[in-house]
Amino acid sequence: MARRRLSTRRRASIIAFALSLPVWSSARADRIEDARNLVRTLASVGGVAGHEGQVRAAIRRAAPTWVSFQDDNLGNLTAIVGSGKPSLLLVAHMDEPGYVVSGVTDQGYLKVQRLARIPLSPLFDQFHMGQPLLVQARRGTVPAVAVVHSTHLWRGNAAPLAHAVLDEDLFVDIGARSPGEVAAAGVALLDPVVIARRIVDLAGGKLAGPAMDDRAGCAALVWLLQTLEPAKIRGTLTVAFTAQQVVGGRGAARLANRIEADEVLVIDAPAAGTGKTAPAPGKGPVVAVAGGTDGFSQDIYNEVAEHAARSQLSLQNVPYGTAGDQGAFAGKRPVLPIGVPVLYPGTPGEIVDAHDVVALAALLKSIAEGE
Amino acid sequence: MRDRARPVVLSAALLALLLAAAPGEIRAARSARETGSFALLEILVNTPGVSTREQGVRDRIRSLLPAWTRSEIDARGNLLVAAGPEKAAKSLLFIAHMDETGYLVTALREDGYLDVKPVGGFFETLYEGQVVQVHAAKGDVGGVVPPRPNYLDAEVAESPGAFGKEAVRVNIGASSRAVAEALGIAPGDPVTIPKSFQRLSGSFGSGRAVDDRAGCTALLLALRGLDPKTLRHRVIFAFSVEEETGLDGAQVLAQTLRPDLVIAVDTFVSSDSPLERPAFAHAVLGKGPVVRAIDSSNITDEAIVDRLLALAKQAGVPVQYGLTRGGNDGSVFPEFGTPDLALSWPTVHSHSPVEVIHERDLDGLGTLVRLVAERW
Repeated sequence: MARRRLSTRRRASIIAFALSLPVWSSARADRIEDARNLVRTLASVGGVAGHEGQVRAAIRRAAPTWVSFQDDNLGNLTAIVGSGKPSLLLVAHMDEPGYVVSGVTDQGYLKVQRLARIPLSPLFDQFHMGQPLLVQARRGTVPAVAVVHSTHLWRGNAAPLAHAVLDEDLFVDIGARSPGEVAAAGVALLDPVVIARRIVDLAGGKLAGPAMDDRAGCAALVWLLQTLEPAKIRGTLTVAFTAQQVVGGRGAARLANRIEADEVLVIDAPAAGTGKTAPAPGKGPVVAVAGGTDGFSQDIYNEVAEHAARSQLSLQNVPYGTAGDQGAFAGKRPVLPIGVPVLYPGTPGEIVDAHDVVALAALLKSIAEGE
Repeated sequence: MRDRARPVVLSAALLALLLAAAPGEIRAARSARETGSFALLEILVNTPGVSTREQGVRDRIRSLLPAWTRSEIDARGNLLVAAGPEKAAKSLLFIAHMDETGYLVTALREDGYLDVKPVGGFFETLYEGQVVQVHAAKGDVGGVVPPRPNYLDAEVAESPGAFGKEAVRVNIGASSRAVAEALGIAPGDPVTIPKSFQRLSGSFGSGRAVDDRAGCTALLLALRGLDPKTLRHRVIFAFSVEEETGLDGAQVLAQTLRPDLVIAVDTFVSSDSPLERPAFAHAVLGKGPVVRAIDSSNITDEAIVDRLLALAKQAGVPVQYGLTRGGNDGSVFPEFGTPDLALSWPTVHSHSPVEVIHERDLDGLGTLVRLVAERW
């Protein structure tokens, strides 16, 4: 009798599950769309090194209200969940390669200086020429364009863009025709300059635009904060968003000295061009393989692999290179880089997949809860 | 008389606004600007219309025509608006092109990438590593033009080389041809950068396809400003297709219409830029529309240029004139007996994603087109 009742209940629950399948899969599609919106939101603002304020503000807005953030005077943003041992630190950088205003010509054009020390494509400056830009002035964002040669005036001549373009070749036009008009528009020396935020949705859960490295990583951490249950955290979890990664992990160096973490996971895409084959968006988070990076803990790798296997989550093993926030922790704390794969890194059309963001956040949740 | 007085009235109003320097007035001045010629231009620039796929632009223009107009579309796709007496002694044809440079999808690859071909002339490097939109039947799909495979290698700096031709593809994030097909993508679909007109400081604006949506805007401004009942000549406003691919839309008009004068309204590519040499094509942005007296396709009779300059002077419209490169739609008419006069606004960064234009030049061009229609 009891057995029969159980089997009836099981049958009912199978029917209920079958009926709920479309709902379940559409809920999953909604989740991916939410994650994609989150990445887009965080990538919609510029964050040149040392000028991450708009990214910090976007992260604060997107995080759940119970999260209590702390700023430090380098621009890092941290949130602590739980207490005691063990202590896990998760780190994603907020900044992106970009420029600052280095001068103004007599005709009112801005000159700019690139602000990045990580290896960049030799075509980085070319990717900005002839494109819309944003000057993040103190009074607000000012639209601009990077001057480029006119097709018609160079027809039949050596194509000017076939020569290497450097930051010093760029003239940035905000529509001012004298230094006085530049000042009147609120633009001043040292103001950060980034490429305009043209972000498009691709097939599946993918999207493309500038600074997906590492806003997709920031999004994974925000998603983690949105989904974790604080009471379930094992020991202390510190979620950190770092400043000035692209000029040599300066924000991370501060955290490495300040936070006594037993384990550090640096949430970032591998440095551009470190692997022979580029990791593919949509095929799972990327994780560092032994060798080839300043920070690599085999113990953390094993733990990550175990959690991934348990959750039936696929990982892509890639070399990470020596650039990145992990360098700041190497030799001080056990550290491992892991992240959201980025296709065409260092271009204004970096492609990421929201599925990878959600998968990475789930993996981090599993690790933080010590399930 | 009424028309001659109009620019004076406008400048008096502008002066009054400038003299009243209280913050409230500055806001009023700005909202007046929002309704200026850039408001129309923005609508047209944000509508994609790669050559042969101009339908969206044509529909948009039709929706912006004044109520009294009756428009027709010829077999080639040109949009025509006629005004004035049908049996007038003289006829004028104004022509601005609706199409823009960009890419068209040629094939869907097995790996889900799209093969594309460039339409019109431009530096293809401006698309390298940039995001694009594929305008498919079921809606826009985002994509990226992958950078050259060795874009991260140091050697690229020594000889960056040209980017383009067969190397250009579009990655839409699809893993197979079937996924791309399911999104509604098909050969022939146009591909553009995300279209967004951007206002800059100082009444400048920027976007892709200012060439020649600004010309279309000038024709719309003229149509909206004139009273058809007062016209002495038969005046036809043509919004043409396929200029960028060889003046193909205009060819059809040249063979079917025999106007006394054709006025092509299109870009004056200016060297008013720190990257160009000012010895040539130097019309300054913001100093008024330009009479494009000589270009790569046409030399306008000096008497016609002089007459236009006199008309502008009489009406108080500041105007520049000069020579530049590039062809214009009107240049296919002289062989059929119709002289070609090209009227322009000065632009820099031609055929790039950031063509720059000054609103005052576009306002002036709209006025100039109307003056020619009314008084030539």
